[in-house]
Amino acid sequence: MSRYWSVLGASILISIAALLICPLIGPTPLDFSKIFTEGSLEAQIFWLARLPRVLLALLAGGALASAGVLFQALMRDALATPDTLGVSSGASLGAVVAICFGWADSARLGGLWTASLLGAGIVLMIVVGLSSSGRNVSSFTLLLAGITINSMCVAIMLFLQSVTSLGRSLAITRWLMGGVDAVEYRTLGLLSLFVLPAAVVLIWRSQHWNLLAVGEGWASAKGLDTRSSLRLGYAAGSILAGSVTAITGPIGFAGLIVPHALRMLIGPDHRLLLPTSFLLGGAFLAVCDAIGRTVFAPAELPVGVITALLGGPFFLWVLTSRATIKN
Amino acid sequence: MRPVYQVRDLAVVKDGRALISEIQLELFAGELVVILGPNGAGKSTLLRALAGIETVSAGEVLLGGKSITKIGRREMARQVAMVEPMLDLPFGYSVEQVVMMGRAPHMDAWFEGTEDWAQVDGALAVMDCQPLRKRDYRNLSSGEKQRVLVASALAQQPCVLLLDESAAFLDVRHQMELFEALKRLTAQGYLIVAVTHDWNLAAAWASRIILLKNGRVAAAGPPAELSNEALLLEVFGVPLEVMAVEGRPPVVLQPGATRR
Repeated sequence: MSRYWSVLGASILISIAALLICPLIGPTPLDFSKIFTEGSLEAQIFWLARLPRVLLALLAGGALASAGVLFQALMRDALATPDTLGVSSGASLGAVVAICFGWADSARLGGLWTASLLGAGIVLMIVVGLSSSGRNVSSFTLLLAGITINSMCVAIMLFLQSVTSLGRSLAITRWLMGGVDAVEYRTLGLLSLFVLPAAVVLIWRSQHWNLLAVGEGWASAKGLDTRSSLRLGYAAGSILAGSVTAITGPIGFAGLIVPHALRMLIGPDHRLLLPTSFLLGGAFLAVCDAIGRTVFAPAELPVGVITALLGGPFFLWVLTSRATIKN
Repeated sequence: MRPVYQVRDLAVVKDGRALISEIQLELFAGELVVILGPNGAGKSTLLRALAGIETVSAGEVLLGGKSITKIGRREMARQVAMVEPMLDLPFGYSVEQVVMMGRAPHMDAWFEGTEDWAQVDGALAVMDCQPLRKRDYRNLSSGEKQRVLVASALAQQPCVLLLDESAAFLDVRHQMELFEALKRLTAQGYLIVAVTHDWNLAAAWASRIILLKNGRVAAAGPPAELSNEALLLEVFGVPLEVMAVEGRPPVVLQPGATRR
């Protein structure tokens, strides 16, 4: 139990460190004595550009990593993440539809948000339907289904982009680049209203995911009402992946590296794995974004580029190392 | 004495085929009941119906006089523990963690309490798993995995233990130890229902054998009563020789007998 609190405490410290250090990093060197001077350029850059961006990265990274942990438990597969299952593409497609039909400019965030959540939810329902109809669907089948859903979503997005007006087409392109940008604090507040309750519910039900990660029959034999737990899990996962994607656009592989590394380090118990994944997933994305906006400064790399460059090889490594275990 | 289980006119139909039908049973506390029968006779289906995880097409299963469809999953898990034949885990849970999952129907707190640890320690000891407790479950041998799964079921503190082919992967010493342990549990008042293919294990330890054929009960009774060659030929479709050793009737396989 003391190990539990020390690991959790360390994760909290690391994400606080990320919150304190990452806003200090950027292409423009800042004189930090002036950030509390009202109206100064330093204060504007710090409070309106850098801090909200780091906060968004913490929130988005945490949501994607904990959604990854959840999907991995429910699908019993270490490679299941919002993007490999196609859930992120579903959310993206929803958002693109919203931009394309102008729902995103009128109601500002509302339309974009609803469409993203719907897209994520629909794709997840398709994936769940595939994996539960035949009961023992192999992980490769699931990943292939994810790839297929991905390509279909991309095709529809490209189609929409080519038939819509030039202005909206540009908005779509920019949105699809995926990344954490400086957002208004109001948006951050709204996003936390989705992300934090979903994350808390997931963590609170950690024992359920432990049982379900072994198998549905097992969980049921150990007294779990598997149907309602699964429903709750899928709903929370869609909310996490969908609401984040609505704001950041697609960020590939953010739900893969942190959960996997943590599972190797601290074990698969979700009571510890979920909260640490949320904290360190956020810190990870904040650091990736800090790297992205400094290495090629003044040019900025979208954080999705960094996570994909790290996550792609990592994914392949997990895939091949697992194949050798099975043989 | 009131039976723990009453099974009345039970039938399970899947894809238009009756897996089991017209099953009538009464199972009592302190019994070690072994279900035997050829492949596809409906042994596992019957066991799963007793566990309440099979959709029943007709008839009913009563546990303690109450229909199991009216018992919640959690309450059910406190009374009945089911050990499935073989289970692979996708993640590296330790043996201790797998056994601790048996405490799920009793645990409400975030952390395990002293009672939970005591039950886990006890279950590990009964199944001779204590040296394995910190090991990654995935790296165990099939027999070790099976013992851990039984330990996890024991940690549930049930009054009924349902085992599906739990002896299949065990070496001969652990097979015997498993059945010795089961016998001791029946002395404490457990009802144990085990599916196996091993007639000799059944003959040595079962208080009652239920022989299934084509989803129906072909015969039921103490091992000595059922060990007659005509009945075995009828159920299994091969001639088997029954010999009495120290009063018990082992069954000897005859090589070549399937090539009639």
